[in-house]
Amino acid sequence: MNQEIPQEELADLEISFTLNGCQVHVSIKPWETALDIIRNKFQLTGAKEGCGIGECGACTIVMDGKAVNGCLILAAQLDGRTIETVEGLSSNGAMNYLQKAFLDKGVVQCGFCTPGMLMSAKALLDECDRPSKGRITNALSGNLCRCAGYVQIIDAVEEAVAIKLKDAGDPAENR
Amino acid sequence: MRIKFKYLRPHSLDECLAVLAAHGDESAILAGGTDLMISLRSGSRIPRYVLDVSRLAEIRSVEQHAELIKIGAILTYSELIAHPLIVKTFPALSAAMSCVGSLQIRNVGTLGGNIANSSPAADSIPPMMIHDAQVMIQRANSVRIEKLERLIVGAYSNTLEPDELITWIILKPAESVCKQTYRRIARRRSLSIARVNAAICGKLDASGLIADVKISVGSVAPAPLRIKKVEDSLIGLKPEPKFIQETGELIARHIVDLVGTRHSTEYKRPAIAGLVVKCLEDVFID
Repeated sequence: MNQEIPQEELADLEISFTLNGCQVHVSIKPWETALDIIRNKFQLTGAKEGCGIGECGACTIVMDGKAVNGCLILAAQLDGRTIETVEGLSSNGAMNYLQKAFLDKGVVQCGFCTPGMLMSAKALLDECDRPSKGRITNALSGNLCRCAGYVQIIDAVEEAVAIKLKDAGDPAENR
Repeated sequence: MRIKFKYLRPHSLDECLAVLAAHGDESAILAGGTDLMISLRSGSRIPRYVLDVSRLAEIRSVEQHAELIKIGAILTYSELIAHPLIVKTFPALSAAMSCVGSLQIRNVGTLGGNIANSSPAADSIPPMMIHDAQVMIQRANSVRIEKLERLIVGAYSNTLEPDELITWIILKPAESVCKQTYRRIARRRSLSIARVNAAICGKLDASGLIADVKISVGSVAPAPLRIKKVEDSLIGLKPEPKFIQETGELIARHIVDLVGTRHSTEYKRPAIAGLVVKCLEDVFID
């Protein structure tokens, strides 16, 4: 049945969305995933395809403030949304506080999971100034690290929380 | 090589139902996509149309109608877990939804999708069953309301027709004196599928006897079960530790009788009993 789909039904779709703060307009195939086009159309190759079925979190991007698996979202679903990828964290070549904390705590071994970990952590810290350790592990529990660096990763997020509070001034006002 | 399809995003429920009326048998409905995207990737589903219902504003709310609460089928787990009325009224369901997949999955996955997928191990089904869940299903010119237990007829199998869409889930809140619980056994806390899961809701009368109890167990049969026969037999009895232990074993035996002995029975029988005992303790002890 699928083989008989007329060509005109399979035409490209035009979508617009905000990608790392820039309004973008792009032509996509209906069956492409968000991860496909972020990597292939925009050459933002931080988000990785690990499992392709939403289990490893290496493809994590942030959509309208929520961490999502780029492999489980159709590119067409990005239309009108606000998307953040790991490439949007730094500004003018300077790392943001999360990236600094990851470097400082020696998080990265092979690095494959790191962009996804950073984006899960970013979504958490954008939503909550002082997450408990339980909340941090919950937010990162959809991201697998096969180098077994979870301790350092959680330490790094805790450090990032501290940096963020310090940068924001009086921590007591940040609740 | 990915399978090819046309992507449609109807702007209203009416438009969506019209598309289903015309092309339902060659369409796949995309709500959260956490199951569908995997099927499209593996090629186990080859629809001509993928119908994105995730933005239908008409079915994205929680509404209270007299004694019932209506939940829009395309609300995500994350939205529901953050909804004060849901958390307050349905603590067992909230706990179950917190167990689904990972945060990334919960941020897109929907309650309607969990029902439509009809997995025997679905986290949300047993805690909906203890609230006598009904499912509102719409097609172009008609609506039907089906009991959740009747809608799901087997593993990944339900009575939904190709032109139908799950639009609302209707739950009956328990009396405020009732206690509710949800527990599961799984390999790890995140991203694992329940081996056994159970939801129980109940209350004691003034003299400490069981006045009401609803028990639902999942992952043990082709579809999650309400154990009504056992529920009825517990009314008026005193939930002492020995009795709770025996009830756990009774339910495990009841389920084994129902589904027959399988390769997993040796593991599942004590696992069901143990899990049910813990749930009964949550509800009736302390």
